Formats: sequence, C-alpha cells, structure tokens
Amino acid sequence: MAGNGAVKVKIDKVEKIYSGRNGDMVALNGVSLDIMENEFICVVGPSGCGKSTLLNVIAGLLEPTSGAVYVDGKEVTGPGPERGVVFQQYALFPWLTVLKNVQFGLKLQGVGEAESKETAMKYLKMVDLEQFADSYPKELSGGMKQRVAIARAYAVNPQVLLMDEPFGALDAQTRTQLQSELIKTWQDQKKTCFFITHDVEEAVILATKVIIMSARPGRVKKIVDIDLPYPRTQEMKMEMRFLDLKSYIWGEVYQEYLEVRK
Amino acid sequence: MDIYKAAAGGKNGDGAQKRVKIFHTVFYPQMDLNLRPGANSDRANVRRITGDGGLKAQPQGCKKAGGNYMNTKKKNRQFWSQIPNGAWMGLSLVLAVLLWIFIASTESGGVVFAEPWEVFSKLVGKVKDGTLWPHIYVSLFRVIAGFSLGFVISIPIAFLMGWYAPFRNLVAPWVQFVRNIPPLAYIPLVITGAGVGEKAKVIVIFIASFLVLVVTIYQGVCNVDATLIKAARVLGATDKDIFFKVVIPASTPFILVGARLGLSASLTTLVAAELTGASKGLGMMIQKAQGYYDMATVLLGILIIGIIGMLMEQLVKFLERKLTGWQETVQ
Ligand SMILES: Nc1ncnc2c1ncn2[C@@H]1O[C@H](COP(=O)(O)OP(=O)(O)O)[C@@H](O)[C@H]1O
Ligand SMILES: [Mg+2]
Repeated sequence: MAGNGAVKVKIDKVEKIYSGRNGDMVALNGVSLDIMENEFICVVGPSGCGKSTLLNVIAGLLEPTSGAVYVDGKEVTGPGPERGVVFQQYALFPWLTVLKNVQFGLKLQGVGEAESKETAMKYLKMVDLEQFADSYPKELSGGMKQRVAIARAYAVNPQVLLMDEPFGALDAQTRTQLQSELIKTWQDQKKTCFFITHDVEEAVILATKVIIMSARPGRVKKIVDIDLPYPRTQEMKMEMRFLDLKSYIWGEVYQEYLEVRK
Repeated sequence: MDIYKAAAGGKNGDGAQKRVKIFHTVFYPQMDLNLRPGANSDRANVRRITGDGGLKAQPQGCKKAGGNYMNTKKKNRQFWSQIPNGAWMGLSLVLAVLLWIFIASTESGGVVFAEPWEVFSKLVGKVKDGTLWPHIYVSLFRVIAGFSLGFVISIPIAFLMGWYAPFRNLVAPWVQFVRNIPPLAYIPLVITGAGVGEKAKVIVIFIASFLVLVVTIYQGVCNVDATLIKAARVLGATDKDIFFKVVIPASTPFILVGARLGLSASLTTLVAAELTGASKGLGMMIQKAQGYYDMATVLLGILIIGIIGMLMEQLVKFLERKLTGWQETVQ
C-alpha cells in the first residue's frame, strides 16, 4: 500500500539538543528516515522520546541542531504550505467561527472571501460539520473540534499532513470514530501522513508503516510494515494478523518504557 | 521576538512561562484571581445564579457551604434561587438606605452621616442652581482624558514588553517601582512640573490608569497560547499576521479587564488629583464641603463618584460580552 516509490520527506541525521539551565538535553540523536509519497506513518515510543520534537522539526517550527529535513528534495527552513499540522490541543482560534477557522489558511494565501468560503465548506462537509459552520469552538465537543482542525489542515491542501497525538485527548469511542473517518479521508484524498500516537492499536489500524522510537535520546529503533489490507475496518482489530502486529509493537515499546523507568 | 521562540518550542518556551508567573506575583499579588478574564466577571456568576437552581446556582465561593445547607433545606433553595437578579439589587439598595437612616439617627453616626433626605435636597438644590453639573462634567473629562491617554499608550508599551526581552527587562522594574507609590506622594512633582491646571490632573490619572493597564495587558500578551501561534505559522502566517490576527484578538479579554481596572483606578485617583488645587470637580466639591462641615454635600459627591464607577463598569462589561463572548468560561 505504500506510495509510488518516490521519497516525499527525507529526515537526514536530525539531531536536536535543547540547552537549558541544567545543561544540554539530547532529544533527538541522529534520526534518519525516508517517508515515501502517500505513506501513512505512525510513530510510537515512550513519552519524552522526542516524537513531538521530530514533528516540529519536520513542520519547520523547530530548527534541528544538526542534520536536515527535505521535502521533495528541498531543505525545510520554516513552515510551508505543503506541510499541514494537526495538534493534540486542537489549536482552533477561539474568537473565530468554525467556518472562519477553516478559511484562515486560505485567506492568508490570498484566496478571496467567496472562494475560500466555498472551499472551507467543502472540507467542513468532509468532516460532517457543515451545520456547525457558524458556531464558535467553545460550542463544540472535543471530537468536533479536532474534526474542524483536520478540515482546517486539509483546506490548504498540503501534501504532507503532520499530526501530533490528535486523538490523544478524546474518549475511546470518539477516537475510534475519528480513526475510521481519517482512514476514509486518507483513502479518498491521498496524502503523506506522519501521525504520532501513544496508542499502539491506533498506530496499527491507521498506518502503512509504524516507526518505533527508542527511549531518550530519541532514535528510530524499528520500522514495522503493516500489511493489513485496505479498506481498513474496526473489525480488523479482532483479526489474528492485527493482534500479532499489535503485541509485537507493544512489546518493543514496553522495552523502551522500561528503559525510561531505569 | 520571544513569542516566536516560545511558539517554536525553543528553549525560551518554559522560561517565558515562568517569567510570567514571577512577574505576575511581583506586580499584582492581589489580582491573582481577578486577572483571568471571563473567569472573574460577574457575568459568570450571574449565569450561575440565574441558572437552573441546582448546586451550580451558587457563586463558586460558597459552593461547599451552600451545598451542605441546601441538602437539608430544599425549600429554601427554591426560594432564594427564584429571586431575580434585579430584585436582589433593589433589596440591596433598600437595605443600604435603611442602614444609612439608622446610622444617621444615632448620636455619633449622625455627626458623619447626613440624613438621606438632606442629601437628596442638596442634590435637588444643586441641580436647580446648576452648580452640580460642572463638577461632574469636569471630573468626567479628567477621568476620561487621563484614562484614554493611559489606554492608548499602555497598549504598545505592553506589547513591546511581551515582544522584546531587553525592553521588558529595562521597563518592568520601573513599572513595578511606580506602582507602589500612592499618587498623593508624587502630586507635588506633577504640580511643579505641570502647574495647577487641567494638565496636572490628567497626568495624575494617566499615571494611575496606565500602570494598571500596562500590567494587565502585558499579562495578556504573555498568555497568548503558543499553540495558536504555531497553528497560524503552519497555515502560512507572517509575523505581521500573527500580531494582528492572533496576538491582538487573543489579548482582547485582557485589554478589557485592563480597561475595567484602569477606569476604576482613574476614579479612585480622581479625588487625589483634584487636591492639586482645582476650582471644579467632584473631588474638589467634597474638599470644599468638608471645610463647611457640609456632610450632605460630601455624601452627595461620594455617591455620584460611586454611581459613575458602576456605570463605567457596566459599560466595559457590555463591551466584554460583545467582544469576548467566544471565550470558554471556566467552571
Ligand atoms: N522546549 C524544550 N526545552 C527543553 N526541553 C524540551 C523542550 N521540548 C521538549 N523537551 C524535552 O525533550 C524531550 C522530548 O520531548 P518531546 O519531543 O515532547 O517528546 P514526546 O513528544 O515523545 O513525548 C523531553 O525529555 C522533553 O522534556
Ligand atoms: Mg509529544
């Protein structure tokens, strides 16, 4: 199910050191990874292993201490319209309506009111929230907010979608529902996805490839191909192959977790 | 560009947060609860009070006591919660007047407190001979001029403090220093510098409101959620976009809280400002009446200042409802 073989995002020996009052903290220790076009990558690893740091580096929000990230062969030097980000905390602008939130990025690109509204409505329809266009974020549930955030990221039509535990704050049922929606959206409109989660089950059901990161300092420990067929359904979570993959990955992550405890 | 670094999760991120806390407690120890916009406003309480009459119908402070009490006396709960807000206001007012009449009727209280009807006839007399309005007008002008000046100047200063560490490091100690000085103490300096005219009064009120505004708005700038700035940046926002489309709207609740506190500071400074030898103004009216032991006029002046304060507060609250209704209310 991987893409057509072209490398979309190249992470090349990325190292990130945070220097603080208590000395230097190595968050990423030479991470290298090639992400193919239209792959759905899920990243798992113990808390604090540098997953968010890596995502921020790819997004261009953080500068790596050494190494570099390339998108279509071009070095990342800052945020760019070809990379969209969905944050765990939704990060909707509370003073804007749902529609205006989704229009935000389009307007920044100079798209006019009418056209940006039309596009925004299209993506709100995609996440099934068009009837909430004029609501304010505070009037929405967590799951709805995250759907708006996904619509907002999609609206500017990025080729790479970076998601940092987007469903981490949601209840189990809503999370399952959004997983299904995300799989469907990704199948309809292929994008290269980089999805961080601490939920191994979520990683397996979504991903074409799961990246297991080692405990701090973060490195790529293992790459696991997920050979489950598409379309993926929630029922697959009961199948043998799924359970095998899940327990294998879980075991690997648990080892790293013990590493942190030591 | 601290804010950007914080947004980018750079090493300044955590430091900035800490700095806010320290700054906050040093500058504004007594304001800790008040500074969360929306959380403190009476609007939130009103909603709770006029709510469905459940436990939520109590202001937060008395939740616990009220809860215990209510469980045993259900009927009382129904009774209290059904009184509309306006009726409470009326009741409170009537009670205040009764208390006033009572105190005025006692021997020692009567020396200080003129009877309400005396004050009322003073009001009628002063309205009739046209001597009251100029006092009100002049005082209002000073308050509004001083406050407006403070408002306009505090916004850029507060944003600069939030934006540029060197500027903040230089200016914050000054603000902190002057904040603790009562206006009465520096009035001689102002008179010497600006004379006894309008300018001196406006300057004193300006200083008082500016200090409150700058501290509150600075809080707002620092409190802008770094994730929102990140979200804007990945959607293609430039520095300018971030300032106008994220930082300003996100700070609006703090600007309005600042306006409310600033107006209140302006009014409380008014009497002090009018000590600088005014010929008109409510503070001046009070001062002069004291010389004649005319307590009715003193009380009248106090009442008018109080009413002006309440009206101004209502005005800002109205603006808050209009402009910051998008806020999540903290329960
Ligand atoms: N701005 C920062 N300054 C200093 N240390 C940081 C900063 N951000 C993250 N870290 C540290 O870097 C490590 C990796 O963080 P993060 O990427 O958030 O991990 P994860 O997302 O995998 O939980 C953690 O130990 C964290 O404490
Ligand atoms: Mg993280």
